[in-house]
Amino acid sequence: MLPASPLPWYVAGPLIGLVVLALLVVGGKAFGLSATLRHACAALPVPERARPGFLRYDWRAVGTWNLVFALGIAVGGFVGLRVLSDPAAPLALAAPTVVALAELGVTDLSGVVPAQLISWSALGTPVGALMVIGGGFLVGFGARWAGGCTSGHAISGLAALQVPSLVAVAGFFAGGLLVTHVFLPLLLA
Amino acid sequence: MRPPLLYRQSDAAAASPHAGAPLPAKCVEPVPAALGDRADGNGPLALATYGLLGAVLGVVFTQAQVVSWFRIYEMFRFESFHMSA
Repeated sequence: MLPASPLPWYVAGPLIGLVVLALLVVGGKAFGLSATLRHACAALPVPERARPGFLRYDWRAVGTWNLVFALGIAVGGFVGLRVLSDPAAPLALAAPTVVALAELGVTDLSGVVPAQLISWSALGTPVGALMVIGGGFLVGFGARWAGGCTSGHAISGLAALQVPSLVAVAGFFAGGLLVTHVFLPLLLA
Repeated sequence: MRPPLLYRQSDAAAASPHAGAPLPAKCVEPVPAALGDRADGNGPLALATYGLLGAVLGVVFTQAQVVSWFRIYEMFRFESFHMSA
């Protein structure tokens, strides 16, 4: 599904940085994505008095650009996967990673997510439901609690030398390590 | 003694005459808006630009494979230089 040899990090990184810069230059926008979740909630047709203060603002004025930007990422991702990638090319993963995945029972390495863990059929299993529903909840809750997701904190926040963003990014990475080395082996044993 | 009437921010639309001054809305954090006043950003051209920039990012994310669950797993195992450095 994905190209065998990825776009190198020294190309992809600067390109991502240039997009952040372009947003600043074009419209004075700060790159970030999890605010779109807030805008989408604020856009729900709920009576003004019933909505929490957190969602009482003019989402059209401050959020439209972000929603369009997120939509653009989805379109670009679709084009990148369906048009620009070779579906037959296998992912060139490190050999120890492939072994570790096999020990977890993940042998299907096609696509962007393991279909054995994250798919409609896996959703019917307790572990699959926990990973998709529980994981999705934690991602949304954590991004809101931290006041930003990996894009806002790791890309924009760190570039602006924000200490809270550094704390958040350390937390993201610690969480990833914990899940990879503790929770996944426990859940999939 | 009667407890004082509490005033919620949500009562602002139909404020009771018994209510005192509005309490500061502690739970309302400001919405991050534009950093500058160069453009309101909602014109068709501006929105098209943001959409296009997003599309560029989407292509980069997929071509660099950073969207891949497998790549992220590999990164957290420190078995690839691609994303862990």
